[in-house]
Amino acid sequence: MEDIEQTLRDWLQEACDGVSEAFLMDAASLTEPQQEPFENLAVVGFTGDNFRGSLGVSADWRLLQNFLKQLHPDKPEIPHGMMLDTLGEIANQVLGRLKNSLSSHGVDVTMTPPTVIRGLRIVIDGTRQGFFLRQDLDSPFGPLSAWLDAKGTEDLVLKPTEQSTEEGEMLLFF
Amino acid sequence: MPKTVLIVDDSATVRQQVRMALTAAGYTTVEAVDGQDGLDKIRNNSAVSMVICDVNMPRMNGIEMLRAVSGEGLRPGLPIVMLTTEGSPALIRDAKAAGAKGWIVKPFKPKMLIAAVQKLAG
Repeated sequence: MEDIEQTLRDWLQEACDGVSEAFLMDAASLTEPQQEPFENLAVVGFTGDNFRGSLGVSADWRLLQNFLKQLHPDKPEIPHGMMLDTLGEIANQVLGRLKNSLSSHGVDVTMTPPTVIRGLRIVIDGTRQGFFLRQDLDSPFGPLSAWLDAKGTEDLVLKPTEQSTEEGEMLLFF
Repeated sequence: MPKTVLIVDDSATVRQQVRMALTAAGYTTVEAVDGQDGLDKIRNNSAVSMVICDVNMPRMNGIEMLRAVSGEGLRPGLPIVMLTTEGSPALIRDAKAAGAKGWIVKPFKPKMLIAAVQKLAG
């Protein structure tokens, strides 16, 4: 299980780094966690035969605002609803990357649509039933934190199988 | 006259990213927030000449929408490309069997998306 935990940790870091690049965050991985509590959270659940759990992401409003200002240069102010939608999509894409890594190692899971919440003091504690991994990134526009809270069955193994199509790849069928 | 591309995604952020890329390349866009909304817009908007569709969405997912379009015999030849975080070979096979013409894994590169649209929609 220690090997699996390290592999999941590596995949979570790769997923966060990849998504950070895609969302123009110019972020770098941190070894020390960011300070809680947070003011927003997006959670995506996943379930499969031998692995299930959830992935959460929280980000500084400034970071979300910076990304959205580039998408909506005509808007003087970015509403919180738009920022929460973007946060949900970030969580969706981080878990999507993890899911593809799992899938190419024989573990198939199904994802739920993201749930996003806005709060005053959100503290993440985890279910403490299996793996609880956290990845923190810092950027010029503030931090982003991601958690993987997951549980595997005793027979869970990660064994390379059929390769998934990777992020940014395109297939056309004729 | 610019061609119209239907963007089906439950994330407003992704719809805006795709819209920006397509309008910059001279296309007109229409949007739908899930598979059911996408299906309704394919039924009711004859100007749509291509569809870019997410997979995981509430109400009706992208694969279900593809099957509904094929099952109803709606707009034969209308190219539908899936744009999703999913990269699993089994899902890609399902989408191809249901009539998808392409599969792009998010995050997408605008140039690649435009190349796909130009190839399939002209």
